[in-house]
Amino acid sequence: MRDKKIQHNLLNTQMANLGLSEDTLPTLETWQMLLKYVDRTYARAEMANRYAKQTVDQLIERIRTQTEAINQRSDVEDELMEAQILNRIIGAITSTLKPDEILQILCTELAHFLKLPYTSFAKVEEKNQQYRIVAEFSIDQRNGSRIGELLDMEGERPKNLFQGSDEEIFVANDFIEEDDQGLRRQLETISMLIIPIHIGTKRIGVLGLHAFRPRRFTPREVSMIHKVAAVAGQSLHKAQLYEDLKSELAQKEVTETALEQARDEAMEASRIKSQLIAKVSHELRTPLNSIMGFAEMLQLGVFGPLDTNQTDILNKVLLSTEYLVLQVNDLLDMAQIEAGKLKLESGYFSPSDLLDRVETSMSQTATQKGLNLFMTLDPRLPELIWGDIDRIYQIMINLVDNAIKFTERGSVRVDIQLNEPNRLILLVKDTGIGIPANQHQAIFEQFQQSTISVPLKRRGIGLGLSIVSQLVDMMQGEIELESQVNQGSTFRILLPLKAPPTYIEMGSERQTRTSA
Amino acid sequence: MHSTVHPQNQPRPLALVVEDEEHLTSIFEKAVDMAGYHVEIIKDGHVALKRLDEVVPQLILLDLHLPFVNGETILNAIRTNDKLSKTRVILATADARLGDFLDEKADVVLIKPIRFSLLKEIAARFNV
Repeated sequence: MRDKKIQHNLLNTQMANLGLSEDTLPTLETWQMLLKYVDRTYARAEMANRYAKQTVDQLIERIRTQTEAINQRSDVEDELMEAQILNRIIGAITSTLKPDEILQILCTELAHFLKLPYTSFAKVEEKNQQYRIVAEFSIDQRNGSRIGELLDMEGERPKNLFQGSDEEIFVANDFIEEDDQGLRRQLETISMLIIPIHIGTKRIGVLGLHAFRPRRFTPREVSMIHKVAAVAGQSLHKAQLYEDLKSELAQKEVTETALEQARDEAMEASRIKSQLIAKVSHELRTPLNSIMGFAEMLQLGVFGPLDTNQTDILNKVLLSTEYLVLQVNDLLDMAQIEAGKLKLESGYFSPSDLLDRVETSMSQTATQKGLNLFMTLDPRLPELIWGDIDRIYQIMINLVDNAIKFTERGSVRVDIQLNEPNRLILLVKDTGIGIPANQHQAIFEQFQQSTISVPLKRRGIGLGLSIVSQLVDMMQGEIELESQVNQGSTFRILLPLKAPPTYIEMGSERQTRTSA
Repeated sequence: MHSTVHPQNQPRPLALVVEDEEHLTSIFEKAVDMAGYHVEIIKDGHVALKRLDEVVPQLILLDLHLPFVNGETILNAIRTNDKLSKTRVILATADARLGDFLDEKADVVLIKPIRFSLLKEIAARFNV
């Protein structure tokens, strides 16, 4: 209809241009020409029209695209801003390892970000599973703190709490029902969002975000708060681990301190014991000297002649006194060894001299008991060897004295042998009562004696072998014991052998010196 | 047997026994006497130092633990006094550890209990 009208108008215009009117009839040729013209013009108009429409469409499309782009840019900006805030909150929450601080930051930051008048954290109480407010942020301090209050969760109907897409997040948006109970009454909340915080899978409490006017928590906000809650959970977990570790360390420290104290006390006790023994040993020497001195003077006839009986008794007094002196010496040695004060005084000495000294000291005792005392020296030994002769002598005296003590008949044999490559063996072998295998270890401990009975007068206080063992240790040596009940005992002391350097370099010279 | 007993008409060399324990002074006195000395007993360190200003003994038997002035101080005084360069010193102590320490300054260190015969023998050896 519209097209026809345009066609008609165009025709009229063209006709006027040609000087024609509706009154004058044109020729057929003119008609044809006119029609052709009208057709062409119409087509052109149609084309223009189509073009215009297209342009407008494109324009609209462009506007639409640009509008969208602008909208998108605003989204990106929003997200960016949100991410920055989230980042800041998370940064703040993770900046401390103190649970109280984490919770405080959480409440404060969320209140500021979401422009809320009141936020709180309520902790689950282990014993009754109730929620107690332990941290809060309140924009109006005049209302007073609610810390310590239990959340009135019982009055909350699920529909109020669970109005969210995620069942773990309780959202109550624009809540304006006339229902006046539960949290809304307690906290005077209109809109609220309650979100649980977990450590691992365990719910430790809920974060409460409250508005006192209707307010909509958008899905984007909810999602963000969810993220913050998750981070807070992790941060609290870390804090808890840290606290645990700290208390564990503190506990350990307490234990260590106690151990140190116990050790110090033990060391102090040991020190006092050693001091006491040294003191006692020292104090015993003066009266011992009087007993021994006067007895010897009697024996020497300083106070006149003695009959046989008196001499016999005096000899017993002297023997017991000598034995007592030995015990006192042992006691002092032990105290000094324990206090780490006993020092070896090493030098070169002749093993032959050593054996002579042992023989001189012990032969009388052995003979009195009717025992043979055999002494042999390995001819391969160097003329001089390195060591503390007094202490090695002490070791041997102890062993030989024991051997005689525990042997009723037979012999005691003392050998000094060379043991390849560089070891010295001090061997003391007897044909005595022997030592049961289960006591081989114990006899080297302090105050230990074989349970096999020995005459009372020969009993020491049991320090002898303990001292031997300690001295051998100090000399980096070893003790070997072979013994069975009624089969005798063999003690072998193995010591590192150090001969003078001249022996190694000038072996022939030794030969000369030995023969000389 | 080892002691050199001087004939009665010859003066005996002087020996000081410096010891505060009563029983020991009588034992030591007898042993040193039997070794041929004229023995003087001194019971405290202070008196000992004073006496050493007046006499030149051949031998001093010196206890370490003494009232007023200890044996170590007396030993040091003897060893720094040229007049006493020939005086022999036997140190007597009940403390083996202290004995080791003074080993070099004394001629002999004897640890108590000291055998009567040993003291007599050593004293006699110094009586020349």
